[in-house]
Amino acid sequence: MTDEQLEELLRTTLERDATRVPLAHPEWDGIMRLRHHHAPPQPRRLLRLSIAAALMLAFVASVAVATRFAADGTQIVASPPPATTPAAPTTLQPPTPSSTTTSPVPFVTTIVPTVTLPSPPGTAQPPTSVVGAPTAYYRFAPDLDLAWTDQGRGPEICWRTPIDEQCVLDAITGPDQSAVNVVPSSANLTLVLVHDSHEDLARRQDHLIVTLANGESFGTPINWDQPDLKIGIVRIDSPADEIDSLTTAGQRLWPVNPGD
Amino acid sequence: MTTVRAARPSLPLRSVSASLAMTDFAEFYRHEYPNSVRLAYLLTRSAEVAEDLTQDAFTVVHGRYEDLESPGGYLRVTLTNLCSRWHRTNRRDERRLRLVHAGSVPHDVPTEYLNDALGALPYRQRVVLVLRYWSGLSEAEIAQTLNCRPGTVKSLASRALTQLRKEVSS
Repeated sequence: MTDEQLEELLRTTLERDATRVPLAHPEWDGIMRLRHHHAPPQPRRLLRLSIAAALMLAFVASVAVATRFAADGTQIVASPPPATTPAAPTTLQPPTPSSTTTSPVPFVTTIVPTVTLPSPPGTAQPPTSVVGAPTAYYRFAPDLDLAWTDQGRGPEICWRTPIDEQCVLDAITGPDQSAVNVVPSSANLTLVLVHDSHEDLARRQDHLIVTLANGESFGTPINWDQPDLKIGIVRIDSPADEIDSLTTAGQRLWPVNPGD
Repeated sequence: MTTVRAARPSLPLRSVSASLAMTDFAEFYRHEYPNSVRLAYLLTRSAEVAEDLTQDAFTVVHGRYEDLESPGGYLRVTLTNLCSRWHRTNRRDERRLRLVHAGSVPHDVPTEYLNDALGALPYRQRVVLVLRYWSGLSEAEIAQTLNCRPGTVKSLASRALTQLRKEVSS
């Protein structure tokens, strides 16, 4: 069979097949009536549905709370507000990973903001451009200067620690709205730089959940000291290679791919 | 925005709504409904489903009729997408329909063989053949409708015709 014959046969077949369909052909008004039952709920009905849903949620929540009380007899204490600017003792304090070590309950529900390393003396608040530097570095800590740049490969930060070392370029990678850079600082510290593109400070993540290689997890507040720079900082008193993962609000920030 | 160009003279002319300057949706509906149901039928092989999907497509078009440069083209794209979605979620039903067709139609004429072979083609190959040989659209217009490249259309059509030829000759 030639191409032309096949094409002609195809046309004939389709034409014949198409004529088999019975055409009820209702008028357009008919369709509107047919579709009427798919109309969106009226505002009053919507209100009733919302109230019913809210009552249902409240009931489920109260049952869950009562069940939890009955199960372990513990008290639920409201989390204290995050410590945005901890008191500044002169010595460094280790993080207090209280959540996973004291309770078998998933740590996401029991995160209490822990005090991370306090602002060390000498840190510019807010960071300012280092006078005389060739690049507009910002001094985030006595041993950490930061600059950022975009040379066509996407945004990158450049960090140097100690501050007289060569600048190290590091790509900013992560989920759409937020990303982190893990900077191994001197003296076995780790500085986690959290980038969050939300303009509204209230919408930015205020806690980072740090999981160490030994399985311990703790929540720690992110200090958003520089709203214009959109960089928050967390200082952790552990070497970077002892940090297993960083998450916030259930979203893994680092490593981006667990295999990395 | 999808545009509808005049079909080639050697092919049956199905989508002529752009040249008719229809301002009234009811008139547009009356004009486009029969061929829309037939197109949906050729793509789904079920009259009931075809009618439902056509009505859904018209409802979509009705919502933005005033803003459309080419309501006919938009209707065709919407209908093709609805058929594709239906096809994805109802493959099992479609296979059953195909079996019913195969059992009830006597295979005594080549067109019936071809009809069954068409029904057995993958959806995208079938839609390319229907738009090409029944709607009379060019490769570029089919590519616009399916939101793919003309090369993809050509490739789908070629594979589909090869398969049909194999089925018919066997």
